[in-house]
Amino acid sequence: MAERFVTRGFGGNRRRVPDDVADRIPPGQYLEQGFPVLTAGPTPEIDTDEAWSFAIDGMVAAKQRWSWTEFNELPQEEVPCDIHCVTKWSKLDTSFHGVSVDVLLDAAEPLDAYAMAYCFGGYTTNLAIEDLTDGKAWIVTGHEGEPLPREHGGPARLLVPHLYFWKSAKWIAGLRISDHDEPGFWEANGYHNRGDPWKEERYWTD
Amino acid sequence: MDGLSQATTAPRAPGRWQLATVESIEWQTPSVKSFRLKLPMWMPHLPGQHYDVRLTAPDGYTAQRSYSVSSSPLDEGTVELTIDRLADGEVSPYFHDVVVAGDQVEVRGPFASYFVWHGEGPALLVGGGSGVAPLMAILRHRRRALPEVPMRLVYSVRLPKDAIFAAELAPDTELTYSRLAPPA
Repeated sequence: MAERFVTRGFGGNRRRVPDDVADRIPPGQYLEQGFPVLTAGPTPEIDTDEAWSFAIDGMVAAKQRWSWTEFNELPQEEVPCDIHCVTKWSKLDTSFHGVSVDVLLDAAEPLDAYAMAYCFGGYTTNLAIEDLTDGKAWIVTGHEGEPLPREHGGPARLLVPHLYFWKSAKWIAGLRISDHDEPGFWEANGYHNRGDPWKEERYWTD
Repeated sequence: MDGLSQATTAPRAPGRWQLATVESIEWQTPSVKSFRLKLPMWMPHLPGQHYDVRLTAPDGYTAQRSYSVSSSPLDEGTVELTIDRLADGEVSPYFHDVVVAGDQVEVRGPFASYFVWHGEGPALLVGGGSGVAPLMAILRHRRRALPEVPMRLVYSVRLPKDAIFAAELAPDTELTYSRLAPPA
């Protein structure tokens, strides 16, 4: 790259990131203490007894569907993690509670390499199975000891902390397995197909 | 068409960082300013799209933020970003307290194609505070490019002094107050 541009007069009032966490903030991100709410549409209200279920379908050996009661009987994990939103904020040392996607995919046995997460309200996001397995993804129903609030995706959201947070789809209803990769909602609207925050994969051209 | 001219005119925006020059700065309210940026790699945006801004300190530290464009894509060569100064912010206080006309800042864009206006009508725009910025891009573009399309902006502010673009509010806009209304 050519000589780095320096912005005149910038630097004095920067946000100070404590040294011990500086290497956990990906490039272009800043440390956020709160938990901002960003959503492309209205926040749905989903009754866990009447309306909620989680499914794995498409190209699988055995389609699966869990009711809320069944889902809560699956082995649960605490997931301490850092999260990174493409709108530039990162939140460190948060924690979620839920079921590893490994457990769910083991029951369904995917026959192909791609998944589309689909949600109550119509949101979608695409992921390679690779990014959902080996302890990298969860369907979470709790956040920091409390039931997951609606505005953060409750009753249940996908959690894929190693990718930008739009991949961690709120109000998730299922994963559809496919033999081809197809863009989801934001991936069709200008955002990167994979979204690795450490490679700053924000937009199509990154 | 020959392949060569296509290759040489391949657009470099929106992905690449470019050095924008601040052409003018306009006070909108006590805490909001609009910055008119001249872009070497300008391309027309869809009203509603945003640009990313990157500030770099002498030691290499960078800060990035996204800001909506508030101008019409008919303003060839420039975009206007309208920025609310957040007291505990990092990038918005820099813009407010340091930037003067003639300064250069790195930007890239335009990005995202979900919250955008393609000319649909009738359209009702509803927003509050500095969230009016992308709506103003839509309203301004409709006024200039498609005045026959029915459109209304309903715009909520806390206090009368907080109304951004006050000089441009017209019969197609409705201003509401959430804390204190001006005397009748």
